[in-house]
Amino acid sequence: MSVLASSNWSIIGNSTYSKKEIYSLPWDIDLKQSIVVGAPFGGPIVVYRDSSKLLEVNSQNSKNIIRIFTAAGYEMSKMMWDSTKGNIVTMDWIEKERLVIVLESGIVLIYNIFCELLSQFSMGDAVKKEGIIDCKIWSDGIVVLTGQVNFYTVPSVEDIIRECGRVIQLAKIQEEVKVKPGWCILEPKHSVSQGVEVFASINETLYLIDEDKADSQLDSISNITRMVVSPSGIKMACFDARGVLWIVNTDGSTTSPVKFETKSQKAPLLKWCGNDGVMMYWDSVKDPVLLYFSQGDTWAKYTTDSSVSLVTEIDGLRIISNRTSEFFGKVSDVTIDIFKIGSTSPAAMLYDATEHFINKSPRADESIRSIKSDLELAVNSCILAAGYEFSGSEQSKLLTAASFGKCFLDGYNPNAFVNMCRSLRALNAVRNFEIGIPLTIQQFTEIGPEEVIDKLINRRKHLLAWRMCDYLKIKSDVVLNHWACTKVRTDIDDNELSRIIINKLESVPGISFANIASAAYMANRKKLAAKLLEYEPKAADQVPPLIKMGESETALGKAIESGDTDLVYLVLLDMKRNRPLADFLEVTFSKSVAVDLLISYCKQNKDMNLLKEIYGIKQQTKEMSFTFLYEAFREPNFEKRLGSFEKSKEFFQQNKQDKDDQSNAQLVQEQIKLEILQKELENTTKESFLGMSISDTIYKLIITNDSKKAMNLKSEFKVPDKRFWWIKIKALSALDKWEELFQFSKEKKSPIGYEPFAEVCLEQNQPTEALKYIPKVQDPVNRVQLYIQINYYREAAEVAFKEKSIDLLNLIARKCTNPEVLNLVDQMRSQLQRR
Amino acid sequence: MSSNMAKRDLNISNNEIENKTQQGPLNTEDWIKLKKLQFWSIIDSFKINFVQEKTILVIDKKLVGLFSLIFTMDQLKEKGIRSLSYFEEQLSQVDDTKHIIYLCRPRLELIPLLSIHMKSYQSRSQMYLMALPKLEFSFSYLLEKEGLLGLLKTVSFDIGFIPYDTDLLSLELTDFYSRSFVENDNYQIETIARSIIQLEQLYGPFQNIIGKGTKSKLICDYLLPAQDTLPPFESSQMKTLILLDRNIDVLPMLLTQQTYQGLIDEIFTISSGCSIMLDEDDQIDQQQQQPPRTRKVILDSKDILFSNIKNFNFSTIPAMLHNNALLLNDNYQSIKPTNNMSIPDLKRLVSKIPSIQSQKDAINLHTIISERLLKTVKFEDFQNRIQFEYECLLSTSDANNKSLEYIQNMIIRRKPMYQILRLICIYCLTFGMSAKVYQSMIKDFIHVYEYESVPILLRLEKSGLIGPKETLALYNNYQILRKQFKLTNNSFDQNNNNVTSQSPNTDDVTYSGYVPSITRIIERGQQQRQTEWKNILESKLLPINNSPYFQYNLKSTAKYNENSSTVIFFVGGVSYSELASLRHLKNIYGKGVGYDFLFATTNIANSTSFLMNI
Repeated sequence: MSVLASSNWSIIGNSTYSKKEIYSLPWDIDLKQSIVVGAPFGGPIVVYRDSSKLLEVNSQNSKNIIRIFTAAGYEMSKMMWDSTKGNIVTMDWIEKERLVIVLESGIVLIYNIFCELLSQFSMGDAVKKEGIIDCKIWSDGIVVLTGQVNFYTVPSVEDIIRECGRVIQLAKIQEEVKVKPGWCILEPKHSVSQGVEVFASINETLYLIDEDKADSQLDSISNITRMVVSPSGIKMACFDARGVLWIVNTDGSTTSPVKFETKSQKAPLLKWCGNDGVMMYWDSVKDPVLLYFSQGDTWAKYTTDSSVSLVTEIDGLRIISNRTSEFFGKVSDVTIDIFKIGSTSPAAMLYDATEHFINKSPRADESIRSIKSDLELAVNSCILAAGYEFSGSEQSKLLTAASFGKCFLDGYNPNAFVNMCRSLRALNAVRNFEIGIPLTIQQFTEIGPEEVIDKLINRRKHLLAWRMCDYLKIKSDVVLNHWACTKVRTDIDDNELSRIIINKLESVPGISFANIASAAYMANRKKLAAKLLEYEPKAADQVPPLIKMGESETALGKAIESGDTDLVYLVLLDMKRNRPLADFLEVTFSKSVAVDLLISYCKQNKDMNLLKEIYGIKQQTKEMSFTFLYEAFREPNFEKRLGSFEKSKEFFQQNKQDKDDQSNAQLVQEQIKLEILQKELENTTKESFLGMSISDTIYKLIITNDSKKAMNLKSEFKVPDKRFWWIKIKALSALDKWEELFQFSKEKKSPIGYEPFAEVCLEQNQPTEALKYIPKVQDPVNRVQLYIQINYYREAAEVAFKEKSIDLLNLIARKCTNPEVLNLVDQMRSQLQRR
Repeated sequence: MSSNMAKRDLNISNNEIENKTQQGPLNTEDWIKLKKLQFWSIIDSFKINFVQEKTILVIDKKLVGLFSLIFTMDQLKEKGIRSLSYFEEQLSQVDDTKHIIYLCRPRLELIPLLSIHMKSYQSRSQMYLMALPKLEFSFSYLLEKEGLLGLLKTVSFDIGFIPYDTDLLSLELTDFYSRSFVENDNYQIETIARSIIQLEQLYGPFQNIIGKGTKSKLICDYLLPAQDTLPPFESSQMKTLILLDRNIDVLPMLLTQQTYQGLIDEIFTISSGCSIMLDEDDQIDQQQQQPPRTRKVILDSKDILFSNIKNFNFSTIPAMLHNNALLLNDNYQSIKPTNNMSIPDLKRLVSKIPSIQSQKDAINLHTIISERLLKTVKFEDFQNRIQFEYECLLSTSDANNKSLEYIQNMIIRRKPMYQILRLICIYCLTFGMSAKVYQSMIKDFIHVYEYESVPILLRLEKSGLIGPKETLALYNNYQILRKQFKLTNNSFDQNNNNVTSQSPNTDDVTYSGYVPSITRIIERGQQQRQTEWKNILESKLLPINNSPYFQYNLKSTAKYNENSSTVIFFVGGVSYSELASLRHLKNIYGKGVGYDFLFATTNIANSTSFLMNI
């Protein structure tokens, strides 16, 4: 067996490579006439008849068909390509196994593996006008080269799908371009600027172009016609016009590039094999040639009897031909250790010993003994080597060896062994030709089990995905959800289907039914959707689908149950938009919380009409009158304003039992009266009065010397004397009519005392005037304080003494600075204390 | 001030200076850094080429204070954002702006402004909307109706708590009381709960949740199921969460604050928790008829002097400052170099100088602020107001008419409207007004102030802050609380009740002769947690309103130690003075016995802003 294992090895330079068949393809594709593009990580293959390739007239393939196959060559889907859509420039795969097709017009179409259109967008008018002459695609983006030698890029297709991305034009090249440049993409994750960059060979100079600038990197002797960056983004392979292959570093650090003269003028297709070397492929009808170059002077030539298509993997290269799919890549060190002819490494010895043991040969013991000290190493190697094998029998032999060796070790940690068994079981399952995902162990570790599950879901292999989740201990929610969403699009009878789905999903705690219900609704199965939604545990997730289904009542109930006000709003606003008003209000009024919220909404949004409608239904006359009141205040038109006031008053009056409302009605009536009066005043005096309060109106009338009207107003609105006096005092002082003020004070006994007179004088800085009133101030404390304010300390002291108040005297002593008065105060104090 | 008094003050200020470690558990700088990171990563996610394409930021004026914590003009410029403007301002007619980033709370009133703004730009610019804390369905529905949603890229910025002090977090939901308590629109409850959960994710799960009130209950209902989703913590820094509805006792929100920080807020208005605008020089400039120059003063926990004095009644502040100045002077003397000094000694001396300098600056600053405050405080009006409030709090029947007359006099004199409304509120909640008195009061009020003040009156009526006592639900609350918890000090010397002389040693250091009920409730509750809380929530608070109370012990596996703090969440706002009176509990009872608080609130308000936001 070990002889067989190494039979397809070839030694290129210092490394050993193998080229092994992984699938024989059952398809009927002739690669000569087709464009064949495979997705990395064992992804699907798209096949399209190539209009640039020769065409056999009577061939079936003459129809423009796009077909998608698994990596094992089984057709998953196909579609007729409608050539009126435009000519295809490029098609390639991006993340999540989605197919991107770029048309000459700059339209980009994205399909899933079942040829269902997921999304479509345009690269913009500039691109359309300039016309695309070349296009390259990487795992999440697109770069196109236009007829005017401008580069445009979609830095993230994902962002565009989510409607937050955009198309960017890279910096222009400043020199005239003579021949169509060779170019390639440096992905954002590899570039220094973290944006898309492009290498382009223009007029014998290599440029690195990003969004802002185009820098020349190095002068080459001739134009580079083809170039491609390695999967790690570190190295770049270039093929120049003289037939020389260069390998340089993308960061520009190369001083002496690796060169390889191919002696071929014709440019080959370049594909990296992992990050190890470059496969060149010259496609010709007669004699297709594959030439592999890694480093130094080492190369290997492979012949092939038909055209091939190459897919770069992170650890090798898939070679797809008419009949087979092969994997080309470096053989791992552990594998070489074990299977190299004549190998005496511990692992090889262990493998050997195991075979002897199975054959019941005593040499088993001998071999084990000889490697006793390195046994752990040998076991680990066998485990690792098993991972690199595609063949099940070889895997099990290696694992048997490992498990055999393990028996001789004390306290060996079995985790590595168990994990490898688990990974291999998963890998073998997906590698099976019926599934057709030929992942290597390295690829598997790179993308992780979750993504493998995603790949299975995408292929609608739910059962396998679900089992794998179970086996790899991953949450199976995603799988079940996707499964159920797919199921609802089939035509199984509603009851039957809901039973199946609920049976399956009920056992999973916390799984969401909402999006399954949505899917069912989209598939026009409303009943099913409603039924499924009942099982959704989170109210927040129930509400939006219910709205979508037009189940507003239920949605409203659920939203209120959830306690999330925003959800309630969502239902209300949706109903408001989509339902007749009466209907909408009827549903809303079935829940009092909803009514409160709707009212709050109306108030914030100033939707007075709806507000009135609501209060009308609720027969809330109080609120209704308030609403009219608010409306009146905001209404600039006088007539309409009065109208609203009247309405407000009417509603207040309706509520005969409520005293508050009756007095409110009076208040509104007063306001109506006031405004009419003010309007009249405005007409006669040409001064503005509207909007003023009663006090202010009176004040203004006094200021404008219209005391008679002021008196009228006073009696009309029963303004109490107290307030009227204050207004008049204030107005007279503002007019500086001190004499008149004094007369007024003597008119009759002031209902508000004489402090206000003194106050206004002091406010206007008239201490002498104030002095006229201070003696009349009743409250001695106030009198003292007023005297203090105008610095009449002696008088203040006299009052205080008369009142026999030590406190007041103390106060005066604190404020006063006049020594004479201070003396007096001291005397008074001692006199009072003596008593 | 008597010498005896000064001596006592000296003792206190000394204690306070030694007690410099009285800092809360939060590292405010780290919080702000985190918010900044969030903010900039959202900006980055727009993928704008700032260098080549002109980008401007348009923000909601209400958020200016908040965002002054998160970015400065210089930082915007550095990023490449050319200018900052407000919704209310129209931009210059035509320019080459390529990107506009709008930043707002999704208030429906903003839609028309936004609409005008956007429509003048839509053809030329790409627009983005950053909504705080999230884009609501109702808001996006209206945007869609206006045809704006398609033009906008919308992102939510869940800003969560903003740290205002080392022991104080605010959500800055200024309209919470009005929307939730008055309109019964509970949309912000979820935001609050989410923010509390975020807090738990940072500092560890709670051991128990205690609370009272309908809104608190709603929040708690959100919190309970989320407890299972928290990652496991070895030890938690937060032990108890106390949720309290503001309408248990709204009175402290209406009273004039008398602590140093509280008074600063009343008079200068503290914005975004830490900055005030101070006139540079008052009188001289006014005579020259120039607008007074103002400067921004930052008052935060870095100012140690401020941290030490902010929670004391203003009456004690001048003395404290004086003593601090004396101490500083002593220090200053001590660093005078003498002849026989060694080089290391000299070095030590020199190293002290900067700290002394900054202390000196701090004393200067607070002396200036205190002088400004004193001008207002000494004013007779202010004294009368405090007197009025005190009479109301005591509610002695002989002061009833006097207090009523006081309000009427204030109305006649047409004092600022909100000031009057506040007086009416306080009176209604303490003495209570009969229907007849109330009606005539309202009539007076409307006669003097514009009729447009009616909507404000109606709103206050609806929120239950004013009204005749027969129908005012909150009217009884205060009297019950006062008796249950001994809120007022009847023996308090009435002749001495103005703020210029107050003994700070009793537990009414924050208000003269009054302790806010929440302080008392928490003080009692924490004494013997299990029994006292049950007692208070079940029997003592029951007559107040039949709102639900709750007390849950959570199944947390984390360890709790004396450093685990008690989080008090004020659902509906809190004032600085109330916080101060709670902070004093720790001074009385010591550390590690349940009085190490971390305060969290929907917003911070003073008497004016509380009423204006209703």
